Amino acid sequence: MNEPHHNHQQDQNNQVALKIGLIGDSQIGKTSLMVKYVEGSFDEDYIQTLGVNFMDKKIQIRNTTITFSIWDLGGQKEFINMLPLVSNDAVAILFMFDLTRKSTLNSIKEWYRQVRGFNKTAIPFLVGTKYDQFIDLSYQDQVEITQQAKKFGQAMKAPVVFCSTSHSINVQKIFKIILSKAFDLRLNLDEIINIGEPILIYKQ
Amino acid sequence: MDINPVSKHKTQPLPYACHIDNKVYDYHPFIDVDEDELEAESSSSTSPRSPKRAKSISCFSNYYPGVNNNGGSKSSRYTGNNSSLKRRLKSICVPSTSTNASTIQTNFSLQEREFSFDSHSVPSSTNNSDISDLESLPDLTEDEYSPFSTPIKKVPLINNFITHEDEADKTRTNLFSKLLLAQSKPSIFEIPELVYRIMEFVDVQNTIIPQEPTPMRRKPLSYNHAFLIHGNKETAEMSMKQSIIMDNIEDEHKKTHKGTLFNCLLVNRLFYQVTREIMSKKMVFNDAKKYGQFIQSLQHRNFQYKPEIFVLHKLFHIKQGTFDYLKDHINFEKLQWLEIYMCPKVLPPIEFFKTGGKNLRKLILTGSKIIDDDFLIMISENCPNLEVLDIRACELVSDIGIYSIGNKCHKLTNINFGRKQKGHLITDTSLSKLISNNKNLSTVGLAGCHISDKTIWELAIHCSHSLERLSLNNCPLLSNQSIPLILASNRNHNNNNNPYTNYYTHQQHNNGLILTTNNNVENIAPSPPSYFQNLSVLELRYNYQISSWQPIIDFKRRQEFRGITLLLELCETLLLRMRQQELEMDKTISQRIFNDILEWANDENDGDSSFQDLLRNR
Repeated sequence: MNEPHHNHQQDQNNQVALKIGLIGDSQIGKTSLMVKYVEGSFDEDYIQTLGVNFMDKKIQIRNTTITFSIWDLGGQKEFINMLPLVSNDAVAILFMFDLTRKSTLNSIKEWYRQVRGFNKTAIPFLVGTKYDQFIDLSYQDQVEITQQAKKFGQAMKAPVVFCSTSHSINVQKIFKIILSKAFDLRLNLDEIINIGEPILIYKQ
Repeated sequence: MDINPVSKHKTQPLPYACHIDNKVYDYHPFIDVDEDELEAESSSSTSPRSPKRAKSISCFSNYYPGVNNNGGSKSSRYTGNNSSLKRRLKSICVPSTSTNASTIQTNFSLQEREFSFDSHSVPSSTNNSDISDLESLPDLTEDEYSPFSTPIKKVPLINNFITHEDEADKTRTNLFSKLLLAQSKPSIFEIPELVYRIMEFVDVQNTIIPQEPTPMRRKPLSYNHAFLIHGNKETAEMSMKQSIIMDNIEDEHKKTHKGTLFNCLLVNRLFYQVTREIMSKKMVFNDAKKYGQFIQSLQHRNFQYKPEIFVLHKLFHIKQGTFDYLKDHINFEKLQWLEIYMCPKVLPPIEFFKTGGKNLRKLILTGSKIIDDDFLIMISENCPNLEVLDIRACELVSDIGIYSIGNKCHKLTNINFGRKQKGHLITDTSLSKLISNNKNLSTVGLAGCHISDKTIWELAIHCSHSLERLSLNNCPLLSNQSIPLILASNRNHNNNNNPYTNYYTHQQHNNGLILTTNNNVENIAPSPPSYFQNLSVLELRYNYQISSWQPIIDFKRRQEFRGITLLLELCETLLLRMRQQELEMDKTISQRIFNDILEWANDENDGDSSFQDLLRNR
């Protein structure tokens, strides 16, 4: 290599774009999480997603621009026909459930099955939302839900993250983990595994 | 079976035979025949399942009466069809439709009087081969009272028209057809201006001036080379094969393009005049025999040709003497395009250029063994408006001739001086003159010439915006100081960064969805390179002395970002070198990206709140 221009190459701006799909039952906070991550704001009111929402989040790190294209599918069954829109070409799929409603965790099985029909390579994530309400549940319920989520995560070979959009807990971390998984990079973040705490399991 | 429409209409013959017959019989042998019958059939000459057979059945309506008669049982119907098919095959050989016509006619007259077809209708709509046979017979009455009469009959037109109509509209259309018949307006084929237009169109559509095909890419030199270019086995094999296929297509063109205009000569007097006028504008020969015939015919004719295009294509053996005839009979005043492609032994006489040199825009004298500097000096004096000059493989030409061209011609856009031998005859001396006088060069071919970096820098300075294609294959004096330096030059001129993308692309769907985008980060557009912004083809085969590939790769990627695909033609060794360099660069870039991402991902201060605070404040 002869390098008269090598030092100039630092100026080069590199772009990385990742598509991420948000999947799960209705009213668990998929759109909220997306809006929180992209715009940093949280709105208590519920607005039903009709079809699909789409937002871009760009992050500039020195000479690299990372673009997360976040696609969010309405949780109602009638939007299932738009699932390919969200899951095709996605690098990661967040399977989301409401930590305060066990039924939404149970639905993950079916969502996972559906998504795998369209995208067999996306990195799956199991994300529990409304952690701030979850801590008000009885200890028994917390144990049951946490253990069930861990089992699901193992079965799906997916990282498990409990988050709270309204209180900004583990929101940024989800996307950090996505990026580190997508590029197989080593993350120094500590895992959180104790019941009652916002679970963060991503190593293995 | 009910899928077969024949059974539906058994009692009611179809009035629109010419439209329906195609569909009816397509499916017939496959649907209606039992397996036993299939076996019996396959023992005979044709298999019922062969597509060839199905096609021949589908295109014929004589089938129709046969079905009607034998409609009762499946087997008899089938054999009936078969026999009628044979009958039909015979009837095609005889250039007459009388038998077919009569059978069909009786069929229709049973049902509706209005639809009893008269004699011209049947051949026109049912059997094309027969009508062309009829048409080829000489029409004696035509020239008697109307020398410029149309060769097209009006009658079939009307019949087609009727058949499209609903039954309810029958009376109306009948009336209309009578009216049409009564009219005797001149056909468009009798108006000279229109015929001229038509002939021009025929000319554009059918006259292919034989030219060397310009492939998207040059043919790979070997399978390994193809593999390097395309990166996978299938496309590599395809590309090797494709170049063969392309050759074949070219051959087919040569065979098929002739004749359409010649046929137009034979139509009538008007057509003859118009066609000859158009044909005489383009004189194209790619067959020595025909060229000879033409030269001989010139002696007997007083028509003076004024061609705009004169092309001799690959007439390897024609002699200089033939031009003497041309001089006397052909007026080269209007000549714009003179091409003598791979005819090594002839030199167009000076008279060509003395009379019409001012109009000449395109001069292609490829592979001549006679053209020398004196000839080019003569050209430069007579043809100041030359735009295209292609003297590839004219190995007698040296700096002297090209300097003189560069001195006198200021409108050149395409030049090609490529050669395999005697490259040392062409150097910077002549080319810097030519380039400084011609600032709109878009295609420059200097393969094999002993030019140095100076010429390339001249190009960069004078023709930076116009240059699109640059061929520098096998130029031994080039070094890293021209192409790599020039292509990288924009970096030195501005500090702006030039991103190229590593995009994992996704399609943005937009079917009634809520689309929100957030542009926190401004989009950094790539700055255009300082030189050669429009360069799209760069050939650098066999220039082993060029070792600095990074600027070239950068340039290619930057052009791609701007929507210009740069085609880099390299030989195997250089391509391998470039690929390795690309890989190196990608590795460095990836590493940098990874470092950036890691730094971001491991930043503790990321905006998330601590859950301990939440638990504590409860």
